[in-house]
Amino acid sequence: MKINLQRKIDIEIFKAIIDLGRNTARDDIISILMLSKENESHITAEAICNELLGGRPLSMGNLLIQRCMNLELFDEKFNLTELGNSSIESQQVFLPERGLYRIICTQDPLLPEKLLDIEPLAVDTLKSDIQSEKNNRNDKENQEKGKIEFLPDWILELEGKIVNLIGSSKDQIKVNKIEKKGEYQIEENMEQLKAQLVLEDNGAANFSVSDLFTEKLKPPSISFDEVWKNLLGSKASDWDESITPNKLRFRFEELTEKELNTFLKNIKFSNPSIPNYDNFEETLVKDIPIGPKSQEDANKWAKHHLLHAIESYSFHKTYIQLVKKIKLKLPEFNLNLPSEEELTLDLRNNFLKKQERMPAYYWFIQAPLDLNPGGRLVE
Amino acid sequence: MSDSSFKRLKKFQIKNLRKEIIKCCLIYRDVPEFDKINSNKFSQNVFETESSGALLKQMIDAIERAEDIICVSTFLINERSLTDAMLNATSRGVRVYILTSELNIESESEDDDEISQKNREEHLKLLDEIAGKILVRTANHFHSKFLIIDPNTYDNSIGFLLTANLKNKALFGNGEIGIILRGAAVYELYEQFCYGFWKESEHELLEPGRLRDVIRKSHIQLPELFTISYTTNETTKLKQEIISLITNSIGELIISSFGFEEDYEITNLILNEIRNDRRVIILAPNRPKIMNTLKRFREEGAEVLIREYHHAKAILVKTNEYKEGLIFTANLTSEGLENGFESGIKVYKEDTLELEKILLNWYQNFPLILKVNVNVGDILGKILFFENYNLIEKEIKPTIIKNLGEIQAESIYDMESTEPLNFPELDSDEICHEIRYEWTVIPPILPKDAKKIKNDSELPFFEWKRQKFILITNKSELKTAEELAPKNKAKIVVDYKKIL
Repeated sequence: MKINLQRKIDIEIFKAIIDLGRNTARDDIISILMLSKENESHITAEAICNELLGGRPLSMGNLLIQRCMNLELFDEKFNLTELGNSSIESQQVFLPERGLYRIICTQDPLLPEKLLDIEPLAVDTLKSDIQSEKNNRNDKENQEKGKIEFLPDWILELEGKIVNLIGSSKDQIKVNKIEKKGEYQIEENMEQLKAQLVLEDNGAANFSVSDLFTEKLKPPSISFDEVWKNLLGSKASDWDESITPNKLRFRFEELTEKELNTFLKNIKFSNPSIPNYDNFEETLVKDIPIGPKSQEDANKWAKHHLLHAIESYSFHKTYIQLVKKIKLKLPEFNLNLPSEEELTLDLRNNFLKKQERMPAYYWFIQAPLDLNPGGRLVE
Repeated sequence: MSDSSFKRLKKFQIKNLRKEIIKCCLIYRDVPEFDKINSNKFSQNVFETESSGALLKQMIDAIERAEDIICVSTFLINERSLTDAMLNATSRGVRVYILTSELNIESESEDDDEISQKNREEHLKLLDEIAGKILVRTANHFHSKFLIIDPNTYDNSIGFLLTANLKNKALFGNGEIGIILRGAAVYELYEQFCYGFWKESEHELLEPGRLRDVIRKSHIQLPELFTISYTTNETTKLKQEIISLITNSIGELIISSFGFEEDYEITNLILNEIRNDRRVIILAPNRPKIMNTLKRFREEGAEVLIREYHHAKAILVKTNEYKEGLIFTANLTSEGLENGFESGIKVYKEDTLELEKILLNWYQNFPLILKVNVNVGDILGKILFFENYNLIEKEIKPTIIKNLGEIQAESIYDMESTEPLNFPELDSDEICHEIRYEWTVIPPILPKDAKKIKNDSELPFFEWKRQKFILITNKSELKTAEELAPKNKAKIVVDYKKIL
């Protein structure tokens, strides 16, 4: 059983000037970091020159240490920083860059990062925009294109954070600084971004986005049970976890023929909602294990199965075997199934009152009762 | 020379056909209209069907009293009052089971010539209507005809063994026999029904329009029955019972059946009995299919009485001291007695008397009697001829006149002796005691194109195609003409108009 939740992600686009570090494979720097790791996370120019530079002058070693310190890989005491350690793990270092970027962001709680993608722009793009802004404050065209304003706090709060971009580059970046002023962009005809969260009752979870970007992401930390009970709402009290597999209990009359036969039900949730994760599109949860709500429902259900199991003429011995087989289908109940005589009488009362033709299973039980001289005939 | 030589002379000749032999025919008897005769109106257990439908009413009454189950076997069913009563019974909780035939167009049955297309359509339509409410099982050999009510109860069980199918024409007409059964006989028929249901059915109708195959319960055995004789796929006890009844008895033998078969064991047995000077009466319908067999019975000396649509199957042996009878559903053919699903019951005491009463009544009042090698002169009026496997109605008349027209005499001296060249036979649909051939002889006359030629005599001479003619116009000229004719090699002819 799985729950498939989907929705469109609202995205916002800005132009902003950002100082950032882009995680890049740099074997030379990683070698220095690893050397320091071997030296109790401490680095010296001597060590670099001796171990890595083949005895070249110490100034060379100091220059490299300074470069690493600029990259915040060593502190002022030449010890490996936390960033330095993680760079060893990822074998990559954040190389600084600064520029004007088109940034795609979202505040959707489903997504782990608010910043989804960045795209470098020519520096004069913003400058010309600023000039245009000054010259044509009332120009409608420019207003639609965007206007210079203070970026919202939730964008500025990205400063200092390491972000895994899900856009085309898939880079990991470290946002060092964002200029407070930027430009809000309205882009029509932009492709949508869709999110899909699939939770399975065995604990598996899959979260992905598609369309604008396609990426498999770390699922939000929410369990199947939590979501399922949330979806069920007041019906959650009928979710029986005391039995394996868990079952959603129903009254006999609430179920269709197919549901009664398969012990499975599909339920459509038209407006699914999860606390802290907002609303999703209508979803259909398929193959939900179901069971009877009460002993009375269980008896009706078992009788229903019994009737469907009668597929040919059955004398007493066969009937008893059928009853036993049906009882195994609902082991949690002490089922009370009718005798052949009780069953056929009940069917007669039901069908003949409505002047309907008797179903085949009626005759399959009734004829062996009626046409058995002295009870002599058996299977 | 007589006067007749100058006049048209009417002549005739009689051909006597009285001694001609008719090989096989059915002759109408001088009896009251059969449908107005009834020998037994439910005074006892054995009865015949009749136009008021009293038998049907008895059966419907029994169905209305049913409390448990109703079992019906019939080759054909289209009597709606019966099925309506059965459906009413189902609404009371009574279960109804029917064994019947599918009446496939392809199937060939003894009863084919009594199954009209209309009957067939009504039968199939009715089965569709009751499907599901009544459990119907079919096989083309299901031919037995009975209705049993509550066989498992002591007080309410009753049965009807019939020679009639449950079709309206049979239940309202004459010519069928039924017997009301009680006690062990009902239970034994129920045993046979169950055997047929589980072991000999081919298809079943659980919903309209869909005959599904039946999985037969092959292990089921029919126990030995003491009251009911039967034919099933496995046994021919009914045939044995018939043979035993005929061979282990003396006295008169009255046999009624819808079907007979040439060169079949039972037929040969009956022929033997006739040859052994036993009085045998056969009651049968006028079916061309059986006529050869009936002819053989008659040729050996049996009395064969015939009635249209006669369908009852029964045998009665009787002497002054005792009577014994058997009523059954099978025709006396291999299809019925070797391969069918049939039932029969021996009747005793009062029931035998009732059976005798019915059969003798039929014997006395059946409208046709079969005759073989009979002289035409012994019969007058309408008869049914058996020719080329067909029965054709003809009328034997005392005389049929064949008018052969006018014939011209060669000479005036041949007037008396002139006869037609051919005396034609009767047409194929004509038959009579004698044929009277009639014709008219006219004297020789002058050919139309003859030309008058010169001569010295007082009488005119003519010539045509080198033949000379002497024309006379009155009797006084004859003597002169007779003198002149030989000399001139002339023929004497008469002025026809003047003669007239």
